[in-house]
Amino acid sequence: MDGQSVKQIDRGIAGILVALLLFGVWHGVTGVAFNRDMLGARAEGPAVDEKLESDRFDRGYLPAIDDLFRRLAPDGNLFIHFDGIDPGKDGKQIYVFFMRAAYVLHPRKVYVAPPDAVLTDAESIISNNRLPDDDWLRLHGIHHVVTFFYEDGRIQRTARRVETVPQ
Amino acid sequence: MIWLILYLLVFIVLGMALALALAESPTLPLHELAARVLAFGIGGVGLCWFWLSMTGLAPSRLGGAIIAIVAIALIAVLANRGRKLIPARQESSTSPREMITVFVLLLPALLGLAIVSVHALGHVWYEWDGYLLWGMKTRAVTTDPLATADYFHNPHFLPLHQRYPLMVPFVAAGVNGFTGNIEDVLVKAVFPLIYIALLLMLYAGMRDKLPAWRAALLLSLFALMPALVRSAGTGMADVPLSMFYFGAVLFIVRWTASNQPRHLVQAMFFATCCLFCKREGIAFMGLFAGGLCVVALARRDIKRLKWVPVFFAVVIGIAAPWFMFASTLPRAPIYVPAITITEIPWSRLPLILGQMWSYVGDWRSWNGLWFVLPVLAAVTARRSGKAQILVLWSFVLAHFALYLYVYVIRPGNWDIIVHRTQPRLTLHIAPVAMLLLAHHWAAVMSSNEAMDDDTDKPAAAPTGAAEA
Repeated sequence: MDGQSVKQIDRGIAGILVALLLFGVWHGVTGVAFNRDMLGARAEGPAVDEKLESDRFDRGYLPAIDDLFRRLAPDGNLFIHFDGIDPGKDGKQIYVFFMRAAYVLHPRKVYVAPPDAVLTDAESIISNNRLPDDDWLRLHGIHHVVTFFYEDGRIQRTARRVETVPQ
Repeated sequence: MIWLILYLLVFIVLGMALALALAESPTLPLHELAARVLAFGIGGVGLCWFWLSMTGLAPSRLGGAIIAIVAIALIAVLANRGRKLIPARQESSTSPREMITVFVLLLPALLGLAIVSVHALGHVWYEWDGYLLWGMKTRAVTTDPLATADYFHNPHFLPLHQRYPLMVPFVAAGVNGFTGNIEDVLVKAVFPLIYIALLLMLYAGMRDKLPAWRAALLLSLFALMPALVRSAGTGMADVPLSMFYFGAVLFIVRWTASNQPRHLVQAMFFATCCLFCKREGIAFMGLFAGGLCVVALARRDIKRLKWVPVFFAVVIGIAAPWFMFASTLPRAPIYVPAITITEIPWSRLPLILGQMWSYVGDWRSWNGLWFVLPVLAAVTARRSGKAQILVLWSFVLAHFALYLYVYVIRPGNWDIIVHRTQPRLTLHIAPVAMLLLAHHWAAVMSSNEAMDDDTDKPAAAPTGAAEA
């Protein structure tokens, strides 16, 4: 290659790279480069109720789920009881609720099963998820129990505080 | 905010100490200095938190003070021996026009940083793998030292891969340790910092071959890649791994030209960080071994092979405490049966290749990188037959071959696995491919711009760096 053709190649490469950069800027400005999950996030509490009624489940509702567990369990450890929830139909909700609660409330503990139970998926959670008596709950520092259950085919929730002194 | 700034100072002080101790020369160009200080600082702080945690001290202000004091002591000892970190003087004066050109070309990179920062600081840890694998571990190592942290032995969390390496959790946990709270959002401030470190390292690597405006153009092209920008602020470990992997490859490539042991020592540091960052780091050890052998072949210098066992002895030696600790942790459940060598379904190779290409060939996600690179390589082939380019190509091709092999031998639904992992895994090699692009472009630069046409040595390295 002579000097002139090398120069032309160099200019051609620079031109292509500048064009690609302009496309990149365009993608950045128009949102192609944005993470869609984040853009779809909902921060309002009611979104959780809306989500509980839905078969779908996505990550956009995590802030609201965080808020929900913080409100329902403001202190102590938490026990989550999935009362009659079908792991085949709502397995993802079961798993996300447990894991997100464990993440958000750390270093407080979240129980869905005896401490030595191996939990690998929603089925294993449900097969070990029996509501213990209050003595057991107190022994494990559990101050709150959240129960998820079906009503009219939809997942609902209820929460109660465990009395620290036996009544 | 003040605690965040103090934590940043710990990165900088430790980075300076490590740069002083490991760099081939204490006099480095400013961009080179900034890149190494930040990259060494991030990797060094992650490793220090691990060692402190093993001794019973979780990330905290006290731990940060200990790291900073040790780093300052190291700087003082090295300075006493006449080794002081000084930015190199620019030999050629840069015209205002050139400076403006470089500034304008770097503006898109700032847009990339802004988007990454919004992803990181505009939201809680929301990626499924992000908060389950890395966010949970960050909280676990924040509140308890490793020896007593319940999380790592809790059978409820078996699917969360308790044995995964802890570089990212420890670096992020430092934010919690400094603020004194478990931060929902601020903890992710380390991810834009890691993105900046990656960009600085790439810029420094490209400046070995290209003048500032060309390196700035390629840097912005890389910084705005949607595949990178989408991932960098989400709290996953892939971009940190890309940064450490790029650091190791960059210094192996520099060693190719310089034959300086200190270049290889810096590669060892980054290789160790790869091991401590993500499980893929173990597979990368094979790539490093192959890369070192290619260096010896490309330079026709068989004596260089003596460094291969030294490289791995050092890397594995530093990483050994982590592996010993990890071996005491429970294994994650295996959801699919293992595959034997006679059962490898090679017939699905073309199908997997096709699906991989559908992601790699998405020019929008990669700003055209995977189209431009082979075309540029073909156009400049006659002018760019140098050892460094050979080494870089060997890393790029071996990387894709490694992941292709993993997809082929993986039992179960390979198409789902490729779909879920391919964009992230390609990120690991993207900075190396960008550096390769820079090397090819340098081959057709006009002679008055060329940095080092004949010698294959890093042009931006300080005087005396390449002679040894």
